[in-house]
Amino acid sequence: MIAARKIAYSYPDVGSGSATQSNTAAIILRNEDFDVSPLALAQVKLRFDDIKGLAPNWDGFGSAKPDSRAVELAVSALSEFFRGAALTPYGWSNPHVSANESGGIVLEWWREPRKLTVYVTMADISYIRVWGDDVETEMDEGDLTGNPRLEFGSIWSWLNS
Amino acid sequence: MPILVTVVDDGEDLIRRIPADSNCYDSSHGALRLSSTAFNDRERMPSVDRRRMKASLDDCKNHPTDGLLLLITNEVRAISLAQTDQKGKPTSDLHKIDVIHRPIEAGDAGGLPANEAHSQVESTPAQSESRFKKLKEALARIAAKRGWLVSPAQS
Repeated sequence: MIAARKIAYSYPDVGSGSATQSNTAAIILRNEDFDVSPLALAQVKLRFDDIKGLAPNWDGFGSAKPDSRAVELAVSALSEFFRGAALTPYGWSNPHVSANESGGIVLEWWREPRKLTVYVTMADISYIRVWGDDVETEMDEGDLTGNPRLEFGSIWSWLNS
Repeated sequence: MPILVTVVDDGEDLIRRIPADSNCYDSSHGALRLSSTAFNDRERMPSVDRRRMKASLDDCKNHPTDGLLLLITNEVRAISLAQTDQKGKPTSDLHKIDVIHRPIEAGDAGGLPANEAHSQVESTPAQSESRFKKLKEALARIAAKRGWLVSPAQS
């Protein structure tokens, strides 16, 4: 017998200039014997291709060209995050993908009033949790360099609870 | 003649330009979701323009499709960001977050276009990368609450 459960996934827009398009929602039958992460993450991986193609100074404020090695690391990390999220009761949603001024990859999820930002660089994977305006009492930070799957599952639960 | 540098008043409007390519925002869920990358800056001193020194909002854009965000100077100055010790732990001392008028003269050595209104969000002392990440989150939250001053246009 196949152990399966239904999980709702919502995908953010992908591709440049598509920010006003509506989201496409999908229901994926999750089979515990089959890794669905390639399917669930297919659209966001297209977004990584866009990020990889950004030129230096892509934002007009001098930001570096995204580091292609960091992009590859972010793709791998996202698969781990997806598996970590699957260990929680909460469905998956793809992140907004961008890059910071140093070429690191920035993954962001919003669930108002909460927000999660994950930075992926060749040096480390770190995160900031935000739940209000006060930098010191309503934001905290940490890293995901130990066991990214389990650690992400914990902050995914925080974001969605 | 050099541009006169003046103090930015607490009540002044500050404009931040955002390229219209969705790398720094997501508007697909109704309310604006503004990425912290909207305030990227290599020197950790994000640029803004003083609205009162611009002839029009269009004059704040680099490209006709750019979106524009509004911040008020005193909101930026009110950001409370603790300094950290050598282990990265917050101390009781705060960074002073300020908006400083930094006009760009014609013939700028860095090749930037002349901009009399150019100003920067600066910190004293300078911020670590970790602190700057939080400053960007705070700036993005402030700007997102107001939504777009001018929405980016599809190119």
